[in-house]
Amino acid sequence: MSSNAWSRLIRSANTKLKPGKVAVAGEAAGWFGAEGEGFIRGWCLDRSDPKQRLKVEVLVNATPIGQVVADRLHTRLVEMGEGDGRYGFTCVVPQEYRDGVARKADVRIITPGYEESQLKTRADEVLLQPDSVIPGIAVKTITDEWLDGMVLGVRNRKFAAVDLWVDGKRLPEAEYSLQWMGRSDQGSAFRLRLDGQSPLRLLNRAALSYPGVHEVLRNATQFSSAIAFEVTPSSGDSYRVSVDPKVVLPDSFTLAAQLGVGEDVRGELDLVFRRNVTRFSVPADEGGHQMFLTLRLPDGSAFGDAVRIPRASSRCNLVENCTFARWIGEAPDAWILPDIEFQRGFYAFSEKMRSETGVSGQTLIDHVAAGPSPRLLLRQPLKSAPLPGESDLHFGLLARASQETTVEFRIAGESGATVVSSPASVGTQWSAQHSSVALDGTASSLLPLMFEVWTVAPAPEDGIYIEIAGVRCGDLSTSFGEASGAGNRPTANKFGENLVVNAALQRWPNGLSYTDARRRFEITEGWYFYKRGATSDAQIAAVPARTPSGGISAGTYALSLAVDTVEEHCRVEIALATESLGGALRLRFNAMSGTLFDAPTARFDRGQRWTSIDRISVARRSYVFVEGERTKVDEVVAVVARRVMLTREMESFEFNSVLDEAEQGEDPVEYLLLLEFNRPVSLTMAGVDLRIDDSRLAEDLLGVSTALRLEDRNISSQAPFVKGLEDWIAETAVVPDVRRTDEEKKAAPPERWSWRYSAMGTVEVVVCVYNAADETLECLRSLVGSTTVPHTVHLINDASDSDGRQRIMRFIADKPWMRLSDNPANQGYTASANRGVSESDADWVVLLNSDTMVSKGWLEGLLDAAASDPRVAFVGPVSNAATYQSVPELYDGGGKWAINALPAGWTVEQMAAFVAQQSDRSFPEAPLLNGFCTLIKRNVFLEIGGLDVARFPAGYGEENDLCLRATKSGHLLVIADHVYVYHSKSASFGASRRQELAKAGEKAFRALHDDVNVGNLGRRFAEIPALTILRQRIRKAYGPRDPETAP
Amino acid sequence: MKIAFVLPGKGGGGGAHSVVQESLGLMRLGVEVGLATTLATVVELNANYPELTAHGVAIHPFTERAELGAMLPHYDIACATTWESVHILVEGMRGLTQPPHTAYYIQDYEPLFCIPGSREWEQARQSYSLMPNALHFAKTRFLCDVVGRNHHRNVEKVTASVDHATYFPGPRRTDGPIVIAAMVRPKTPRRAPRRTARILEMLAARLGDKVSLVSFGCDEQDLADSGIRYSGKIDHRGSLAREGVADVLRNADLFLDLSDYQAFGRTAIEGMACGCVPVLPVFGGADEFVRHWVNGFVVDTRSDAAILETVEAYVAAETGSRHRLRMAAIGTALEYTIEKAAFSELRLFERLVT
Repeated sequence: MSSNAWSRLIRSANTKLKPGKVAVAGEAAGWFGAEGEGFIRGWCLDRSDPKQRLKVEVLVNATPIGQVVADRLHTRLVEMGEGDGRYGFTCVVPQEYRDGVARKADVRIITPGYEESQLKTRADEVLLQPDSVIPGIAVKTITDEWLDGMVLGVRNRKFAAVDLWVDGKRLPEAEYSLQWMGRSDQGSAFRLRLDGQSPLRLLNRAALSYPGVHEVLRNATQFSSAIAFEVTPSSGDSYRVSVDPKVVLPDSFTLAAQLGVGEDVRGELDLVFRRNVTRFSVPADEGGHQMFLTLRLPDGSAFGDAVRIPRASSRCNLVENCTFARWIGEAPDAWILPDIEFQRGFYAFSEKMRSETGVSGQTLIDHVAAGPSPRLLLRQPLKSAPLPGESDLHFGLLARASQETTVEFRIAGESGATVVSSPASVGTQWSAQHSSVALDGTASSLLPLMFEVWTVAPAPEDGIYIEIAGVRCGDLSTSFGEASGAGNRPTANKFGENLVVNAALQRWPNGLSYTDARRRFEITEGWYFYKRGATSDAQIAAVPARTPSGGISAGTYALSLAVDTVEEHCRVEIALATESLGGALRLRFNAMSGTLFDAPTARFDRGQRWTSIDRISVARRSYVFVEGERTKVDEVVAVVARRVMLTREMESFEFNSVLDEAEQGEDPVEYLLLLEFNRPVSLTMAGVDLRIDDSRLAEDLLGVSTALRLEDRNISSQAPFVKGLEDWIAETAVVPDVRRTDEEKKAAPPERWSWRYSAMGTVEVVVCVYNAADETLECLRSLVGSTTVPHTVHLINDASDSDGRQRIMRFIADKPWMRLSDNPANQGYTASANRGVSESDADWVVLLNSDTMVSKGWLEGLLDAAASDPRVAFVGPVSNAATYQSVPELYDGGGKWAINALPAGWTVEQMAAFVAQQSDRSFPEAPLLNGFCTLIKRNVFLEIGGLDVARFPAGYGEENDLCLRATKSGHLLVIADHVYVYHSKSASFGASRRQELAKAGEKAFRALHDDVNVGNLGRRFAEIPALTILRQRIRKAYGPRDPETAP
Repeated sequence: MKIAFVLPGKGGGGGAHSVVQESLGLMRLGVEVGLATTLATVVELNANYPELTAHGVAIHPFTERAELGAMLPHYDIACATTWESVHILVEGMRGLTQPPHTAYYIQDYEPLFCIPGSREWEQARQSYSLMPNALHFAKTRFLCDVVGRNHHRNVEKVTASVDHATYFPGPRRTDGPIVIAAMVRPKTPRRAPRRTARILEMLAARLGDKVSLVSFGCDEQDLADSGIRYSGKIDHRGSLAREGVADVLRNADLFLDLSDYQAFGRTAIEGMACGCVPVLPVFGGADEFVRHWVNGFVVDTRSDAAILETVEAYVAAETGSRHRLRMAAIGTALEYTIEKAAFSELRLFERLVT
């Protein structure tokens, strides 16, 4: 019940009942009210006899719900001076009255002599809302020192009290202490300690209750029968004793054990428990008897009740190879087959069937030809003789036949004399038949005894086929498996063998491709899927296994698993064929993100690119006895890896983990490999191989692996595409730099920037020169002063006048990285530029107009932008006069392209620094680039055919054509919006000639690209948000906008 | 000047230590410092850093945007400290008519913490561009570069700080085996807990009595949960508070930080301040303060061989060499003071507001 509901209840109880001191007959006085938390609580005393403890009965709608002695301490009464104050009572209202219906509540005194003194009430109504938590007492843990429990449904512990009953008597409060530990939505937690004694002695002897009212609570009382231990056969004559997990035995806790047959004590031993589990063996000569185990605490008190020891496996089934799992040549091992036609079969039983019956899936198919009956089908000597009168002998058969027939189980002497027999019918569908017989004393005289199966019904003309999947003879059991629960698992660590069940994924009992919505199901034999929360259906498929090298290995399968939404958690549980595990584990598998059926385009969808296995662990699954039920408990014993990132490429993974054998429980039943997912799953995996490598530990410690491995896969999966982390995935170990001092490092150019450019390749700046030597020299001076990236400069002299050429030659004479080539005659800008780029052997070429001035960091900036995306082919900076790349204004007052002057008193460097500071460095993509300064990926330039000399001989439009060809072939053009290159604007031609050339260029351009809306391109360029914002910011530096400031 | 740091969470990591101790440094430089943190963790934050309130740092717990938005106008600068805090800050600033200047003290390249492609990864990446006009700063060149190169952002470099009141050399014994300490964080894969545990075991096997091995940084249970089980040769001290860490480092000769990378390496430099020579990953920003074989070691931690070679060379070195390394380490750590760090930040903040 929610706290609101309770407060409503309290309100209604308080207002309607108006509880108060109610005088009753004689000196008796009392009070009661429906307190919160579903109690009727009050106090009651006889003032004339304060030592008297009255007993009251609580009624709801005149039906008694409980009788309580009013002897609880009530502090208010102490404050009021009422005796010792121990006159309080509390009664829990049973669940069935918590239905939201108003009822009358009454309390009357039932102590003899007070029968008349029923507490008078105004018989007001109590309204009890349905409660989500059924009140009760739950025991959580019992240790050697304390008992932790919880009073369920009681959040306000003021109203809760707990009585402890031992051997049917209520223990005086002085003998135990109760400490309230906290509360939750479920109720209030408490810790109970016995005065100087171990609470373990309470097992099977004690009960907890609410005072006086335990009879009304269904689950509040007895925990005596719920807490015990269980004995299960483990192997051979060995048994496993597991204590209920609520009981926390101290490590190496010793209990004295007695083995008995009936009343006789046959053996005494000390059992040392580790993690609540221990093992013992039954003396060989006692193997055939029904034995009991009793345990005693060190103080001699009983630890739970005596428990019957199940017969050892050798007695559970007196015959072997009952499921035909083992064959020698053409015949099943251990069975004697008479002269009858038989063959080996196989049937894919459901997982449920397999787990319930233990069948192996292999079958024996007998063909009984027409002829006389009965006919012997198969026989086997019994492993040991049952003792006369000890118990019944049980038979079982899982079989089907081509038509309904009858078989008979017989126990016979070696000579063939039948001792007992029992019939069973076999139908056309698989069904299990069980029957039992009582042995009489004659059996032991006929040793050895044979177990036989006969067909007794006459076979029809064409004979009859009987297919047997399991057969048994021994104790009562429905399982045909030979060792309980463990199937054919090996019993010890197997060094060097793959422990993964069905590792090659050869057996798919549920089909090769299906979708399953169940919470838990078997994916393929030994592999299970489990999910929690509203996780979507799992899509399963067996697909051909691929190797990391891309090949497909014939005959091997991979598991393809997709779960589109994972609400909470899902996991794949893979059974391991071992009963105990320890030492160095090595896990290997091949896996990739995505299933082999995904569309190839999914490769580029970032959401699909990775799948993360959030945790890979090894868990131990044991079975314990919880409140009488055999319950599965999974415990992670080793985390092998966390967050394993799978990419779209099939990769091999290897993880090593060490599992300390000593740390494991005494007798684990099963081990599992768990792959856990917290996110959508889409993976293909194969070749799962987990083995114990006893040599690895030593190798780990003394030999040293030369492998280079980052431990965090989040990092190794990102390092390839995070710029600056390239050497984190280098194939050789990075050697620390010991030579340079801090000072040297500070003085050198920032190395992380410079090595990057070498990684990107070489850079050449191509400047086409046609006269205008002053501007060209200015440009070259800025190049020398502002370029820090290693580069070369190639000047293409397009037949300039000789004076200009000489001045340039003089300038570059002492600059070996600059060279000048001459065109024999003036060929125009386009041809010169083509020559510059094609003659270069650099990876990147900057086509730089001779009338520009670069600024500090310009080339780093352009390369930065180029590195922002591998598809980038061309990069342009912003400028004062570069059409759409101009800042701050695009147009002048007359609607023509603006030539923005520098703010008064500013140098190009200052302006460039300002632009760099204002820029968001978003490197926007552009539809075109102005050709005044363009960083060009040379191989793209060549690939798309360079500049079109035929149509744009003098320039003016040639760069737009080049840009469109680049974008049409899938490359990107970006603006380095933090680089400012000053453009003094067309020093080569005069203004009128310029306009003429521009017009001709535009005409040629439109003709070439009639599929492109040129106006639209321009609009897109003009409206690039990053540049618009940048222009606004720079405008501020210019003061109020004044077109007249433009020259 | 008034600065508010947005520091969600309870603290405890290297990044939070930096912010807290530099906040106090800024206070001493005359800056009014506030700290906005999530209400859910304010009690733990106060418990981890009682000095904050003791020195007058105003703590502003918030649960929603409006509460953060209400306090921000009282400050000149609001400074984010993690990717989450950037998102919180941007939310908090929404609709403010007079928003403060913004800054982002980048403590690590946080996309590396996340699964690529995950929502957290996207948000961590976005954090560098959500505040386009913010002042971005970090304490190592590595961080400046990696953020700069991947997000085209200018990241200013500030000086790192060490709390020399807690981390100091103190008296130490001179005999006995060489003490090697390591931090093991099983829940943080980038800190390479398995590698660290493996190397410790290998050192125990290879060096025997020459060394005494100590680890700290997590509870025993965390170790066990992660499948790390030590042999008896390693003394695991559990999860330690700052004083406890200082104590371990003071008594250790060598400190192993075998992370995949270190954006800075706070524990290592704190160890240097205690006279403990560090071994740090070559990847990341540790070369900011460590010079190989001068005041510590940097190794390619991907390679067990490289790590072992380095540690064994140190153990085999002459006492004099080890002493020289130790003195150099102390000397380097003393270069990094809270005052210098706070001043380097103050200079940037001044540029922002003037």
